[in-house]
Amino acid sequence: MRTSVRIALAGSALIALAVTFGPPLLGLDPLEQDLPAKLAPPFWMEGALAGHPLGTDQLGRDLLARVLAGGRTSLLVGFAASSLACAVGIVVGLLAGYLGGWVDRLVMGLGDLWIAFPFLVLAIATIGVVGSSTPVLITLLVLAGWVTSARVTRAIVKQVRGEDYVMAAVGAGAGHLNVLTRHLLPAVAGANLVIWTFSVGTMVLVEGGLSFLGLGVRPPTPSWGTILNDGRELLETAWWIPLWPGLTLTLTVLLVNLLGDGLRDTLDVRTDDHA
Amino acid sequence: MLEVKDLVVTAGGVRIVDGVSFEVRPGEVLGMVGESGSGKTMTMLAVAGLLPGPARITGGTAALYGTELTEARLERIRGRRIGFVFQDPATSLNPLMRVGAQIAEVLRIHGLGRTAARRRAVELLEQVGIGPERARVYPHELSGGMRQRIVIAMAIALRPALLIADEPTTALDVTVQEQIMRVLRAAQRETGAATVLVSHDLGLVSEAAHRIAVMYSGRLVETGTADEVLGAPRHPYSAALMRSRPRIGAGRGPLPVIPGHPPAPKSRPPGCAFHPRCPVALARCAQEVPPLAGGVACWAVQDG
Repeated sequence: MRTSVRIALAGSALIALAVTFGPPLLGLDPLEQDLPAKLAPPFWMEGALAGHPLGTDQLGRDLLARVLAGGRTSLLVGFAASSLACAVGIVVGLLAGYLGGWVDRLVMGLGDLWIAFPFLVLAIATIGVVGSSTPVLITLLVLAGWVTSARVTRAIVKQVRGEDYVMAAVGAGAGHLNVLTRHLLPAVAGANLVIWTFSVGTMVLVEGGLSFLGLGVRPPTPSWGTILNDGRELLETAWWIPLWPGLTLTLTVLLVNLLGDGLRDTLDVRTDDHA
Repeated sequence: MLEVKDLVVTAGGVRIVDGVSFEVRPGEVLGMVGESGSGKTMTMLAVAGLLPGPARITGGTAALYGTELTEARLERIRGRRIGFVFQDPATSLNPLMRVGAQIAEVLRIHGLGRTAARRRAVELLEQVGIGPERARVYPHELSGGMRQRIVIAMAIALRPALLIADEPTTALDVTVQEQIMRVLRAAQRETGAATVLVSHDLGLVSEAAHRIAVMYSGRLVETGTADEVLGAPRHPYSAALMRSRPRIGAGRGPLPVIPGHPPAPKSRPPGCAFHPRCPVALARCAQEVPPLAGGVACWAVQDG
């Protein structure tokens, strides 16, 4: 395994541990307001307050607590949505590519239609009707994200199912399910891993965007997106509010991408550095 | 025992295999020869139910030990009763699966348990001359000859009654062709399978086959024992084919060739498909398709 993969693995694990166990372990409450302590700067600046190392926001809430707690929401939504979107995309793409014919045309036509449909309209309409919650948010993001993976999967399946080894497997008595799971699924895994890593970052950002529009996570529950947007108006005076979620978001996306890159190289038996 | 009767394969309205009949007895190797596009591969793919895309069986039957090979039946017995060795070992193995697992997969499909399948896979590797330690390598780590050994191991894994080898050495270096044929023949003898060896390489077929079937433009033109067909071919096409073989000690000078080209199935001439290129063609040859009688499909031989 390459060094970059080790670093990415360790970093990702650290972030996951920090956002999961951080707030209760440090005894921090992301919702506790302390108006006299509002807009305190981070620790290295003049006027920094003890107990608020990363500063506070306009309601005097501790930013360390909010970034950690917000990470929990953001990462949950990001990972769940991109994983589910890839899973849906892989299943749809496998079936469309393998069955071909009208199934293929129907599913891929739907996909095209789906991409042409403005996501925000869908989001506003859905949330307007059923209200906002984490499951609704994840569902919406999955609906928006499955097409990429489905298209790539279908294209690879179309190519691989014509390969001699698939015919050889059929010749050896393999049924449809066997061909799909043993020969086609492994062939699409690498590409989908890359799509997945890209989409984790995108999903976290989209969640932030939706929260900003009041369509995502409801205040006062923090997410990296909501904290970013909270700080947007105060950028000139309290620039540290958006700094922290911005940093963690960038770091997470970077680590996940490194991880995906490395995993693909490690898992792909055709490259040299598998072990 | 494989019996094929009047097999017709149609693709896009054209009969690419046109009424082919032959049989292969257990333990026997039938060499099926013919030029590219003569329909020899299509015939065997049809028997195994592996015809690609637009090609369909539109007539005739194939039976293995008296049981007709229907689509539904083939689905159950492919791999178990029929083993297939494909032409190009570089593409007929899954690049993402270890070779041992790939052999075991064939056994698992047909109901063997995980450990039993793995144990048998190692045995099979040894049988085709590959050390058990190679079970954990991927196809790209093996040479072409080694890969073809793996393909053969997969084909004979369940001791099939019918073994079909489609140009098994064409994609390999000349130096390993001999080895692979030895492995294939050992496997064939050991399983006692009725074997069809499809090849355009007359030298290869002459060494391995007991009987030979010559195809031209989707039809069988001659069948007989290897000695008969190779030594004293009766059909003008087989005879021309034998003459155009390079031989050591045949002297200098240009190699005899057959004038013209084999016809595409869709522009196959009426009557005997070979008559426009035939040196002994009769008037009748352009009108009626000669039946395969006494091992040869030729009016000139039958009437003359």
